[in-house]
Amino acid sequence: MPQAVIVGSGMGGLTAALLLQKHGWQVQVLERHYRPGGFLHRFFRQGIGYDTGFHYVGSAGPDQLFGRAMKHLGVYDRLRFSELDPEGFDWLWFPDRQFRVPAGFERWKAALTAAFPDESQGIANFAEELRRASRAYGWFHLDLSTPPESVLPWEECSLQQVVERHLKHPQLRAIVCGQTAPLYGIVPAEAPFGLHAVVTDHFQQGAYSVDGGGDRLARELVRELRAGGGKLHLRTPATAIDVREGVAQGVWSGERYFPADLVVTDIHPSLVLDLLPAQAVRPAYRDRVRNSRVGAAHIGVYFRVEGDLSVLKRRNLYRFRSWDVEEMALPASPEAPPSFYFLAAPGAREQGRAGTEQVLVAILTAEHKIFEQLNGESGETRSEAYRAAKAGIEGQFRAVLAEDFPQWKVLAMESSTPLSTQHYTGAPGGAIYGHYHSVAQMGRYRYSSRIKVRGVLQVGHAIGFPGICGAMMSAYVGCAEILGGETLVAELKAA
Amino acid sequence: MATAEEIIATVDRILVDQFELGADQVAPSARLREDLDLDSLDAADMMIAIEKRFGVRLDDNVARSFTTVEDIHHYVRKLVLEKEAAEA
Ligand SMILES: Cc1cc2nc3c(=O)[nH]c(=O)nc-3n(C[C@H](O)[C@H](O)[C@H](O)COP(=O)(O)OP(=O)(O)OC[C@H]3O[C@@H](n4cnc5c(N)ncnc54)[C@H](O)[C@@H]3O)c2cc1C
Repeated sequence: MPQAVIVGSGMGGLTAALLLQKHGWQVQVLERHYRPGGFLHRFFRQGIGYDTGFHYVGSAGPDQLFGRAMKHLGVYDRLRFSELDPEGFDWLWFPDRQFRVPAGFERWKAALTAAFPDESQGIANFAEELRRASRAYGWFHLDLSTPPESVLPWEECSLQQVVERHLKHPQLRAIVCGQTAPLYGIVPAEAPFGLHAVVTDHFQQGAYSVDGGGDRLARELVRELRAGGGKLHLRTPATAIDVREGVAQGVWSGERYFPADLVVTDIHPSLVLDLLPAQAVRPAYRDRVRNSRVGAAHIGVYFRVEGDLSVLKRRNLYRFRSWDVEEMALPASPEAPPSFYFLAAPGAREQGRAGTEQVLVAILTAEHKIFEQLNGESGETRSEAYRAAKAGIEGQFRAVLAEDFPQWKVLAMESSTPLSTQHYTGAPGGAIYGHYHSVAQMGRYRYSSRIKVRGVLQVGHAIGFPGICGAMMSAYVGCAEILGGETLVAELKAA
Repeated sequence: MATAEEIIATVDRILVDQFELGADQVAPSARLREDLDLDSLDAADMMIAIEKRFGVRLDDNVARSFTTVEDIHHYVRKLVLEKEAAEA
């Protein structure tokens, strides 16, 4: 039996593990943390679970991409997906206007047209371009007859360029563009239109939550792995990839050695470089990876409230306190109220989990280097300045929340910074989507699954697209190098 | 204005330094894939290195069709001359 070692148990790593296992590989997954799942992680305080990197996912219906993949991986029947409100799964709240993003292209077009009747033609044209761009991504439509190069033109133009071509009203533009920074971490001027099209299409198929959150998803994937004979080693960081004559032979975790015919990495390419011998890749590649920009970082605010959460039961809130899209992407500061926050109540969507229904998770924009500077040399104990900034930002957020939702009484609150994210996942810069998937870093500049070392495949959100589904699909695309794309697509279609 | 020799020398330097090739290997007639083991994985890195060094933009299809070191010389020279003409 050929042996595969997977480095990292995030969505990408677990997907790759199960795909290989299904195809006759003996699989071992190494995870540095004490829980599997990476960003799927849910942490617990007094028995109450707080989700970190999974609030909702698109296309989880039984005949849609994510749903099919869950069936293919053998976990669909054990997960309970609930669709968020198809009439408005995302609630965009601007200073003097609200918009609810409905599921389905036609419904979405109609909602925009109702709000901006003068621009019906522009909206129709914009929607048509979105559809065409999304179709260019064969893997996302289970149709590999589209050559991979057909995506290039769509990654060379920015969302902003296409929006400016079709839409006029600044508020309409903000409604269409406002979500990009939180949803995949890039400002509209730098967001590849193709990426935007794929993400939009993903959620237009329907947005879903899953009972138990990402933690449950990770646990079911791990259960499936173990049922098939695969192993998960927690608290087992990969420390080196053993390469001989340009071919990977296995993975070291300290003194422990895991021999491998194939090493799959679910970590940022710069962390892969750290594991490889210095001479294993060419300087050109090394420089490129070392100089690349990692994606956006965030502050997570985790809290419980007393009060009615029904308004968030079937939707997420994107609260924009400005119409200026650039301003919304500015990092939160202890001195001023945040111009943007994302809010979800994952617990309120679940049935019968006492305690969790009052849980809220907010996301604010942040910059890693600000916290790094504040923390100075203090390491894990954290400096006074770091703690003060964190408390200041929490205070600003509390004030804004009291204005927006005066009916709630906040019971307990804590927050995470980009340094926390880096600590728990190893992600460089605490990046929540791995790579900065901008026009300048995608298209022909995107990372590939393969590197110069044979027997190594890279997966994860830095290699593919951001998000749970992006990380998952990166594993399909990566494993296709070994298992064959047509085979995997046929299996997905049959699932 | 860069002379042809300077452009060629700079391209060769990139190949030697960034792709760890021997200076004697980087002959104009050397075949990228067969002689220098430069494959499609290296292509993206090469484009980025050249674009950064010369401030030009390589066309993907042309870059993909390179077979020898000389092909790179010719194309980069053409782009650099065009750029200089445009700036003049
Ligand atoms: C706050 C937040 C909210 C989000 N919300 C959503 C959402 O609602 N919907 C959505 O689709 N996406 C969301 N995302 C994004 C999504 O969570 C990620 O894009 C996705 O989960 C990434 O999966 P991955 O497999 O690429 O990497 P990761 O989840 O980062 O997994 C990598 C794993 O590798 C491990 N590791 C690192 N180094 C080593 C080593 N040396 N040895 C062994 N193991 C190692 C890490 O501990 C980690 O477990 C959100 C992210 C954040 C942070």
